[in-house]
Amino acid sequence: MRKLLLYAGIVLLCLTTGCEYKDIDRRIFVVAIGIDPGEEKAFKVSLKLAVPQGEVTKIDEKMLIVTEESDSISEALRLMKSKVEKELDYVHCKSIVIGEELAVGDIRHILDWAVRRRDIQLILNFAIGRPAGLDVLKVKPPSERIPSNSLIMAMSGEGTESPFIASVYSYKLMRDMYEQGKDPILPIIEAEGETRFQIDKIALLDEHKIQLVLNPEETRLFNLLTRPNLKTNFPAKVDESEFQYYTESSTSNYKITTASTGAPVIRYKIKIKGIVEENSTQELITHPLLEKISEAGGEELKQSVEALLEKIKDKRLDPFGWGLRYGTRHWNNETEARDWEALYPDLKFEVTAAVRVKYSGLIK
Amino acid sequence: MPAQQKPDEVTVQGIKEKLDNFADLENRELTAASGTGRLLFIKSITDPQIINRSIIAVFYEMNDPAAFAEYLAHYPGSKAVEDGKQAMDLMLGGYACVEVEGRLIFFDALKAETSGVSETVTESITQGPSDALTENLAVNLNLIRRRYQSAELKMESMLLGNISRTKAAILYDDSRVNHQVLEELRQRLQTLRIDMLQASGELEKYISSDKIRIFPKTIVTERPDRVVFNLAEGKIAILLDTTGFAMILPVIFNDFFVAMDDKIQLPFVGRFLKLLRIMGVAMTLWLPALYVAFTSYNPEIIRVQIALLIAGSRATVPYPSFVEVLLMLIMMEFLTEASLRLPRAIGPTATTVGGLILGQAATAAGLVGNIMIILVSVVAISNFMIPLNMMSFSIRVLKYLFVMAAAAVGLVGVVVCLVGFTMYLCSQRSFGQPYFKMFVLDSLGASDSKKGGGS
Repeated sequence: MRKLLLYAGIVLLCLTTGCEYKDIDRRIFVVAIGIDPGEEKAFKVSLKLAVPQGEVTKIDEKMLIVTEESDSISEALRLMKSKVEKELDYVHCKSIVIGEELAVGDIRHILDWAVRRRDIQLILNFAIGRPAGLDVLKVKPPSERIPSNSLIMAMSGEGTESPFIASVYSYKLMRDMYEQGKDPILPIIEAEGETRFQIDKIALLDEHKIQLVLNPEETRLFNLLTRPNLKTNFPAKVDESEFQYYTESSTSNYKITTASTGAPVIRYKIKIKGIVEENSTQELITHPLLEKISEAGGEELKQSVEALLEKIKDKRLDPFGWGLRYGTRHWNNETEARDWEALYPDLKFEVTAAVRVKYSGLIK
Repeated sequence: MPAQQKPDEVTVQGIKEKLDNFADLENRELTAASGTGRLLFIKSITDPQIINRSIIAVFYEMNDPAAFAEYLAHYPGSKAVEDGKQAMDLMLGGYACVEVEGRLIFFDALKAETSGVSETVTESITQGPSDALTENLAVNLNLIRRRYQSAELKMESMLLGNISRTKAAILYDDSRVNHQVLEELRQRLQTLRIDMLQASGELEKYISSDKIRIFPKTIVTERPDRVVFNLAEGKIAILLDTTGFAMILPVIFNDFFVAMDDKIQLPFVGRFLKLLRIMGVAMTLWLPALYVAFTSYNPEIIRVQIALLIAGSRATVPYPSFVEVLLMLIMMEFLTEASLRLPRAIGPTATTVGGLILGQAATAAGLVGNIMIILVSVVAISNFMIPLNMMSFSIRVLKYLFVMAAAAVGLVGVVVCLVGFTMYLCSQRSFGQPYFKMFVLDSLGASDSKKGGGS
């Protein structure tokens, strides 16, 4: 009898579960968070929830947006728990969109919360939403099958490889924000109606708020300077014809030279291998012409990059981490930060753009 | 044909000494009024009819040793030998040795046991020999001796079981075997006090010293080529009369994942197959547990797309994920067990009804998720990738432990279980030999890999 009870007990024990046990169908996944300034309270937090479907074959994306105002973000999330029937699960939250209105103020509060909270991953994408975070969350492109998938794909670079998008993970944002000698950046997502968004601008921040917004052209150059093998095209004008060349491969690096006399110089070296993609006059492309295109393209690139760098310098921003680079190459740990501050206003830029357009495309 | 002279170095006595410990060596004296002769042969590979009719009967009919010697020497299939090595080769190849009138004549009496040897059922391979061990010990010995023609292959025989009196034969290569293990085995068999012994697996239970046995410590195989392969590696084989399976010991964990066609395939193909098998084990062991862990504790590990897919497929399922998994797994076990017992003609019907219709209906009714059906099929298929049944069955049961651990504490449970099993395996010994000697490059591992089967 005792043995029987023991066995029965073991069997029953096996049917119990641990304390963190919650089935996946009793959770609702938050895929994106939008944070805007509230009308009455400090924050208006919106959550985009993915509603799973039973029939995989039916293309019918369902999503749900819940909004709550509160003075603290955590409080707003707790309040929202009673608005849905399932447990809110943030583990698959892939993006936080901060409203522009909030981003011109201070984003440190939000960032601190996102990094501190244990179930929000450090690899979520931060962005600024225009006109507001909620508007971006509401966007539902027709090509999307899983809620917020398009946002995730576009922002992380898993899907589109647009040269205008810079993806910023929360750990990176946190690092850049508190690192001496480097300033954070954030991509700007503009909602255009209910079905489309556009990400082609970058906001440059100082310690905690937006200082400068780069236009798409500048954003592309910024990406060219910050990451290798950017897939894009650049113009080149030879005589009367307008050419566009595709960048098959691109690299860029820089050196900071501080001579004892004279102004400190940052030398940028950009190397691009290109293919002609567009030819406005249908001129026959010969090898000498290719060389001319390369030269013209290099010159044009050089000028626009220099203009961008000067523009950034005028705002006293450092999104490339020049100050950090300066610090790593100098031994005077106590004074190097101050030295750099003193050097910064005198910075000169020298850009060499080595563009080599190799092919004429497929037409000979 | 010149008269056969007895070579100086080959004597009946010499052969007998070489074949020491051969329980199946027959040594007869032929005595007639006119003289005597001596007949020496290995019973298990010689045909008694040939010996009776062509040697013994003729000897007594002729009643003249000199004429008999002449008769034998001119008989097709008889041979004279030059040296001891050739004599030994002939003896092991099924020749009977006749000493008469001071002459030593070898007479072909090979018993080719072909009828009664059936094809392998549980360990089929695509290429290579397909004959299986039979229920007849003599036939089995014939199958093995034919493949292992070496004087070093010794055989000891004994009777096991007070009632069943099962004939058992211990085979080993004297030059390669670990004598410590052999001694231990002899001791364990001698102290055995049982009534009935009918199967090789049963014997393992009796001679094993552990109380709780989770993994098989001996290989039970029906393939004579596997027996021979392992004998050459210095292992010991125990053959039982009345069962078509041989037992091989000591073994390491890795041995259970060697199929006999690994060596037939090209080395890189063999390695790939081995890798597939290990992946199969991992799949069948962990997939159900991981499903429970991912759906109920750690959905952050899988991608959001898959998480939503699983959540969607589970939307109509009324009970927790581990009940769903257990239900489907048990259903699958029913199916496997049932198709084993079913008559061969009904087998396909059962799989169709069970596998296809049941699975389809269960998802359509919303009782289990779609993903679950895929998972269960993968588990069922990959389980049978293990070439040896004993291990395959062990793994089949063990996966439930992982599911329980996952249901209790999620992914942590699966990892803890895995670590626990690794430690358990490392602590195990098969007849005093380390059981989990998997990636150690010692002499055994090196000899294994040299044969191209992947170590």
